Amino acid sequence: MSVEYAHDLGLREELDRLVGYPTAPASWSAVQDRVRRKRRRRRGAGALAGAAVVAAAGYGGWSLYSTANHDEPMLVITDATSESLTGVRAELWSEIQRVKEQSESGALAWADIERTRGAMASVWRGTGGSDFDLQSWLIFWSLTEQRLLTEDSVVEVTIYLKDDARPEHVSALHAEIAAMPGVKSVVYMSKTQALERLKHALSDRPEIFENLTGNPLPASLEIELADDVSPAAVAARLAGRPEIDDISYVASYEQLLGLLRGLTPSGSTTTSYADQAVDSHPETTSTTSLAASRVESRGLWAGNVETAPDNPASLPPEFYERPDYVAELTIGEPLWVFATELPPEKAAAAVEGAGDSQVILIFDPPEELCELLDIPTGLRPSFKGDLPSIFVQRPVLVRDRPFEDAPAHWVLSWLDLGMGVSAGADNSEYDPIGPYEAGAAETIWLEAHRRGLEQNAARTDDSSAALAGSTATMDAYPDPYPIFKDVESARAEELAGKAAERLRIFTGLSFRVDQAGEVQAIGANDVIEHLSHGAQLVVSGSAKKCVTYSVFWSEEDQLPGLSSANARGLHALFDVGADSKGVIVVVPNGYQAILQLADGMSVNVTSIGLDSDEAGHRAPASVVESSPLTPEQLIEFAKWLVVEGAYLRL
Amino acid sequence: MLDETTSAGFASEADWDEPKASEATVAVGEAACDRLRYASPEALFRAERDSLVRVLTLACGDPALAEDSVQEAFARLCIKWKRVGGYDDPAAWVRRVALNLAQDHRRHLARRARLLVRLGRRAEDGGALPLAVERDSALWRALWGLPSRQRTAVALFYLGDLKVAEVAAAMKVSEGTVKRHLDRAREALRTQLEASHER
Repeated sequence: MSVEYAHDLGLREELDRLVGYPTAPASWSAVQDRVRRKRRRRRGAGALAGAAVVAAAGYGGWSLYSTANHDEPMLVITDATSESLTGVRAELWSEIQRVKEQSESGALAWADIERTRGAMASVWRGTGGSDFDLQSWLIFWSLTEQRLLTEDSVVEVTIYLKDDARPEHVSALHAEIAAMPGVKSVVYMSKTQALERLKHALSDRPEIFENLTGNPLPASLEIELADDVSPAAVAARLAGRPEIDDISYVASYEQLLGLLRGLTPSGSTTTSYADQAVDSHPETTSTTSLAASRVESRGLWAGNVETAPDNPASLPPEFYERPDYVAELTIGEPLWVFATELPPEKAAAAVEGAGDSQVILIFDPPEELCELLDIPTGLRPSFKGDLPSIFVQRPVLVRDRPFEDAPAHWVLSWLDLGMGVSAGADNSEYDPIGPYEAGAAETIWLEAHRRGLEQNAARTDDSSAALAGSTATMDAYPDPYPIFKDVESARAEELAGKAAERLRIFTGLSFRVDQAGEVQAIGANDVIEHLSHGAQLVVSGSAKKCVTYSVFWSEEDQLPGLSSANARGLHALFDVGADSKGVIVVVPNGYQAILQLADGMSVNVTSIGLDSDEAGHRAPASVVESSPLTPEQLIEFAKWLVVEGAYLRL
Repeated sequence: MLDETTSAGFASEADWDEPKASEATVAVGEAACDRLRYASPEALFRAERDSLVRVLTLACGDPALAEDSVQEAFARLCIKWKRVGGYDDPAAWVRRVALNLAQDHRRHLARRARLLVRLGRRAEDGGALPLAVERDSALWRALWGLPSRQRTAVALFYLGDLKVAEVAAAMKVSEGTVKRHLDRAREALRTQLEASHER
């Protein structure tokens, strides 16, 4: 047994003592109880939905309540009739009844309903996430029935106003909205009115308001629209106004209708693009193995617009093979268009050329592309296709900038349709607020991986000694193309002032701070992945003599070769080991010190020419001579920076 | 300063896979083989439940939540046994599910806390979670000073007795990341514990 492993066992024993063993005995019967409850709930879905209709008779109003254990809801719905409904409302009513009947008969299982989680998330936030269950699903459709029967009172778009919005601006906004075509009414709801309404709605739960200090609710404008006006379009038109804090709108009847039409019992034909693609694939159509695989793991690969097929049947068989390494990835079914990667004309042409039944989600479409495709601006992802209601857009930020120097390429993700929407808690490490988010994150990961490997491959070919040790794993590349942002920082300036004083002590020369600040590397989804404080210190009276440093300390996300120092044009090439906790780079003309803290504060001093002496990375003699620090002084200064810069630890 | 017999004597540079070939880990290897031969979810439950509860207790700090998550994971296993039972390592699936359930619950609490705060109420669930051990333990405090992913890796590797690859599968990260988490966790623990002993 190695010495190191003996130490490991020490930790293991310590943890053993610390945590101890469960005090309650293993209870298999408790597990079995849970299983029974789960199965009962699935079987009960139809019966409960049917019971809601039965219970409706004789009630003049509507209400909704749960049974004592809050497990299985009973719904009591209005006795108003649906006979007066026409058009899309009548169709939707009919579909709701159809789904209920199929639930009651058992034809529609909970597993089928569960597959609508992603779509439900897009029409009603409360039902799409981890709380998606039979209760919330039933509540939603009960409320939808109510909405159908009491259409006149439905508010379709709610504009939440900022607390500090000026009254004259709100009045102007009110007038502007009222003048918009298709707006039936606009009602201003003050903060006080909103609170009173909430208290009235929750009159049986007064304790909620007991400790309320102030009024947390915003004022709002409630907009009612004509039937032929899209709430989403109105919301998009108003988005971004400075007086508006948030906008919410209810799903259109067409969206809801499409969602229910896609909800069919297992085994019947569905309308998803993926199924159509599978169905039309010449290699797999009508085979029993395909049928089996569709039950177990229905899905297909999806790529970006460059590879989105005009005709799914043209895809090679491997397009449908379930991959090993992302086998549990769960997202929806659209093909994605990363609009910012492509010229608008090219993206538009690809979208227009897609098949009639092909669903394409366009992420972050620029205005020009929106105009070309005649889709609203301000929505992301935007949607264009003939399956409008099942996978409606949700605002997911996938990437807000192009992959600058690479052509569009495959960004493959396995889109698992069979288990995807229900598997968030099981198989995804992402917060399961919706399948798109997981898919988006996975795509970014795959893209980062591909680029990381490419870059590492390029570095392997590079004869540069400084880069030869790069670790060829993607772990070091959370986002190879972060945005670097310079920001002012009092802390960075303070450090620079201290550094100037320290250098004066070392060298006897007088230094002044030429520039100092913070550089943030902002990765995907606006996460600051990397932070550095840097400064340039110039010897008074000699502009050529200077010391430039960049201090950074990052636990997770080192960015080899893409350091903040590089971004600032400091030409500091340094190699960051995958195990490094933090690195400090100091570049006084021609020399560079690298401290890798994980290696016990070791210090490497290399000499790299600012004039890019590629071959040996040795500074030209003229540069060395102009350096205000000897290598020994440099090391001492770097050590000092390690200590002083430790506050940067993210 | 601690000596090698104390808990803080962790190596700074360990080859995480190397110990698997040692005498001490033969049992672990055999156990891993056994995990592949479970005939029923109940057999898997009886073999893995205690270990999993302990891992989750350390990872999430709440023994009740750990027990609940483990029970729920096994309940889901029962329902999906036909499929999951055919996996190479069904225990890995249960582990993933249980970990995610515990994490989801904590996120749910956080969301609820934010909502309550927004409504002007104090977050009842936003404070310290019930601990499985006394709060005064230096090791426990050090563990809770770790980022959650490092703590999870430590829990799975040490308490769960898993290989790096198994930890990676449970956390859905690469093996390199797991090794890095373990390295950093051990380094941080050593630093913390040395500091507390010196005090």
